[in-house]
Amino acid sequence: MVFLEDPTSRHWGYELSRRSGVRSGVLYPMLTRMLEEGWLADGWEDPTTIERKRPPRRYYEITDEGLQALGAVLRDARNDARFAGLHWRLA
Amino acid sequence: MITELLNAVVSWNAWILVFALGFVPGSCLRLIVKMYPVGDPRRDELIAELYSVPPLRRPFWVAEQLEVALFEGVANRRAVAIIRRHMRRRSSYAASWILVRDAVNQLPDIDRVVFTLYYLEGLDFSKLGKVLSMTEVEARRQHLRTVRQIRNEIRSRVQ
Repeated sequence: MVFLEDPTSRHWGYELSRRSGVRSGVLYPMLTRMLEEGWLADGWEDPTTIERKRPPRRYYEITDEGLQALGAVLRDARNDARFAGLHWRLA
Repeated sequence: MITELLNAVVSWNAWILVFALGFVPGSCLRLIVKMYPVGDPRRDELIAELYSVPPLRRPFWVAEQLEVALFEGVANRRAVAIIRRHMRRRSSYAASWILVRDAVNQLPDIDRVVFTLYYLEGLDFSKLGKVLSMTEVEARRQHLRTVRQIRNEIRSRVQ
């Protein structure tokens, strides 16, 4: 959902966990699987752009393949009675 | 007021708080990431992410990473160990094969034919005997002679 809300931005592990409400213990294995599927691409921050004294973070971006796949998953979930009670934020 | 503040600063509780929220999560996380195999990007990723986590949440966040590392990191490390072991076996197999191949090339024609037909083509002794115009028993004896010849040739090369 976070990737679909903001598909052009780079996302970080902790930020994804906070925005999606998914515990990082569950989120990181999910990110690994999505990377292996080709739904996400990853990279590292440019150290010259970091203002605070900290190491560069790993970012995740959604790929075109991921957009299509996650869109299809979302459409299926909307039509699934089990998720009828969820409030969908996306158009 | 100032006295109370100074008392709080020098009190053990304040130091314990600084130690628990500042030093312990980072040190524990550095130990936890060691569960991942060398070269796994998760090692650097988790240490960098710690700086984004608010200090009060860090101990809980680090505890969650222990859970991930136990399942994901240890599994990755085990997979890497299996591949390395397999590669070591393959390289030792390749070295042995070169030794055998060079030894066979030095043998008389009959021994090379026996080696090729029995070990590479997979013929049994009765078929080997037919190809070499021998009985099955003679083919077995010839096979033993060939194996001894190969062993002696390898010994002379290794020593």
